[in-house]
Amino acid sequence: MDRFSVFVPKILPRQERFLSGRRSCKGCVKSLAARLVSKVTDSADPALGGINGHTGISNSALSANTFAHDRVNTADTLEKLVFVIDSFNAKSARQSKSSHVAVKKPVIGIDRKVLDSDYVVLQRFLKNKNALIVCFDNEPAMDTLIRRAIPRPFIQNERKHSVNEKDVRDAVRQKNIPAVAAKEDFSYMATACPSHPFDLIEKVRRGLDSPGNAFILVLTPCPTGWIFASNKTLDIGRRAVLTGYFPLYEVIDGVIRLTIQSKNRKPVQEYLALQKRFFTFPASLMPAFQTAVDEFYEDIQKTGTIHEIATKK
Amino acid sequence: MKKQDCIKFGSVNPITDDFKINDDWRFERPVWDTQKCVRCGICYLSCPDGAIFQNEDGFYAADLTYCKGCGLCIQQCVTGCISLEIAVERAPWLVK
Repeated sequence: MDRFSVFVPKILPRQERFLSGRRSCKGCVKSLAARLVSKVTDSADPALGGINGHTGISNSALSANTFAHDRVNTADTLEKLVFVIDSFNAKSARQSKSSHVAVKKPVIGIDRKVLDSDYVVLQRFLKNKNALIVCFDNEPAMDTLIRRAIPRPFIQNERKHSVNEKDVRDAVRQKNIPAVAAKEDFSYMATACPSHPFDLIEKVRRGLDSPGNAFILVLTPCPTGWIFASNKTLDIGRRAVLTGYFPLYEVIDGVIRLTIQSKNRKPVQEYLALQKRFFTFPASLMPAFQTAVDEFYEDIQKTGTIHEIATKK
Repeated sequence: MKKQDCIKFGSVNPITDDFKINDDWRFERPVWDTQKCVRCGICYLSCPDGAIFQNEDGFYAADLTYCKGCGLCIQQCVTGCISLEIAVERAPWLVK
């Protein structure tokens, strides 16, 4: 194994902490993102000689997005997760063994849907703890938008609010800047995608080194939900970044900086056309995606702070 | 990391947590052409299941117990040295 020093293995830690054989779909990028994150957090683990106490903790049962560290804990809700961390720290205070080091900066992997639903619990959690939150986003909000755009029969159609261009604009904006990131003051906030793996790894490292709470939003294309071939997951992620639909940026002290700049951005249609979930979406609203993305990308390039972009109407 | 290691560390409950052997998910298996392979490790990096490992020779291979046959390694490969070979024992009707 001395030859384990060529390109990629030279940059990443050798040891594999990711647990194989889990219930994720073919080509699941969520599990790939969890694997990459676990590789970085592993090197910072106190048991292996790191400085701070980082531990990978996920808030769901062992499925796609759990980290599967040697000290992994799973909890169904964020409230339970807070209890798990507190009890672990209390245990480590009682026992002065090397195997029970206190969790100083837990790495928490959560789903985007959990982030939006458990918002109050997360806010309370962030006040007391110092954590890195990795949010795996497979666009649950966009699925809702597509479902709403399906025409309803007879009277229902008049009662329900159908999708218009403003909804598309809001969906694109809220996707890229979640409400938590806009309201809370994170010491480090970034977006990443496993199609650019070294960018993701670098951002997780910076998040671990940041003094306060850190938040990383990871785009995870879902072959089952978005309906495309399993070998195109990373291709779709790359297109999302290069078209400007999901720009990779990082926020340090409230100021936005694009980490990957695409000067000649491709049309968003290239990204949307690969996904068959949009086949019920009205074709007349498709150009609205392009205008929304253009507007958002210009905002990021021009304005300095994240709060200004989030509050812009 | 394998199941046995997790049980040893105490992070996994062997009774309640079930782990799939993904051998029955696929009809094809990835095969590396060692003549073309430059051992860059991009396939190892892009495997969502952590099923690709490095041999003692330095070349990469798939752990067929956990490989689901998604084909991401083939798409990401720089030199195009990976190809899918039909697993005859799994799908004999695919062989022409």
